[in-house]
Amino acid sequence: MEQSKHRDKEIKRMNMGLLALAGLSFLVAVWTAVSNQLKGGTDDLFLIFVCLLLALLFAINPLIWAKQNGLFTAGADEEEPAPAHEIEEHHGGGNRENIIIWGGLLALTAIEVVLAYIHLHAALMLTILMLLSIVKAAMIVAYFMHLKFERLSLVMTIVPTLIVLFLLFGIFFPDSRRAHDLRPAMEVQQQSEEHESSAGEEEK
Amino acid sequence: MAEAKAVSLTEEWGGGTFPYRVSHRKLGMWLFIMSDSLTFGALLVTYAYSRLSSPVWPTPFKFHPSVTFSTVMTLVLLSSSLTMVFAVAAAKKRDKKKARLWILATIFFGAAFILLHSYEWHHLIVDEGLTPFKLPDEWAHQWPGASPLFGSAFFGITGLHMFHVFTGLIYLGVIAARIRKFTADDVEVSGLYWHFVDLVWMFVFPLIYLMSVDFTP
Repeated sequence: MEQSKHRDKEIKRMNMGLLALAGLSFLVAVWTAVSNQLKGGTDDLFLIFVCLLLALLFAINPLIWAKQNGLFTAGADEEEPAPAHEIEEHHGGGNRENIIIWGGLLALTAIEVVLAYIHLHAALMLTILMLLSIVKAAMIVAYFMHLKFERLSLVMTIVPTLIVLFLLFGIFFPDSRRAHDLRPAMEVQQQSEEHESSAGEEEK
Repeated sequence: MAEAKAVSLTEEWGGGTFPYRVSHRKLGMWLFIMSDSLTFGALLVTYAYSRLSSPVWPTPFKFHPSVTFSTVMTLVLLSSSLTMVFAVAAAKKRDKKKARLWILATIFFGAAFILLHSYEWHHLIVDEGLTPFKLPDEWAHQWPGASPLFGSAFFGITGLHMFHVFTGLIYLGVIAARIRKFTADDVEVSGLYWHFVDLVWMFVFPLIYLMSVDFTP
């Protein structure tokens, strides 16, 4: 009894610390946004993004703990319709469901190919394509790879890890624009002239 | 109540049980998939980086043959994923004969993918003259100052993907040939690998092909 009380206290203290760190990261994000007003472009966006991500990471543990102890029952039922659904079809989708998913994937691919032939701005095009691809990947992982019907612990091990790691790749992109600007002036000038003359179509 | 929860957590993660409720093979395959997706992620990010930092990047893929072929390849790969799902479902029902047939169908689609892809590579290398380190003269003329990294990005990413498909074919071939010795779980684990190969193509196809479509008639 004594021990469990001690442990409860310890857990509470740890959670408070994590919450404080989450708050701090959030404050840094807000401060970046307010003080700089996004003048740094991609760099600022990236910093804000990373801060928010850190805040989320720090906040996850206290939130789960709070939920387990029933601290916010009001928020609980809007977050947790999934398990009931999960138990219902625990053994995964039937063949019919998989065929529907396959059809959906084909339809999304068709949309992508059609999009490629409408003249869109490269950045917009890239955004749409990446969004569609992520939806497709999620469909494959959830249904074909059966992850939707696995235990939450496995999902929580795989998905957040990958998301965070892929976001960390984003650290390179501000630099790629800068590399462009840092080229010797002659070369850039020459090439940008040539580039403009070639109708300036797709640069991205 | 908090105490009971804490105790059950310790029991669950303290050893002797399966906290993920999957077999060790499946968990191993998931971990492999995670590391492998980072490999592909790094390659795609490198491609995006070089494309962004180059003043000019060639966009040479005509509707025919490149885009038609890659679209058909996407269709073939997606269908192979569906047959693999059926194979896993059949193996779970202990219908090993049916499972083997569906795996063979998957192998057929996978082989079709490799054939189509090699035809496309052949077209690019022989007809167009693209190599990993040099753009064809025609393209260099059409896109002055274009980065020669195009070839290495294209061949590196699609080549690694094709290697994965090829490895998957061998893997599935072994499973199909000796299906009596393998359990339903083994079939499912091979299915995970195959779906992963499909999943990677879902990113390679738009980023490599659709973002490089040639609009000039």
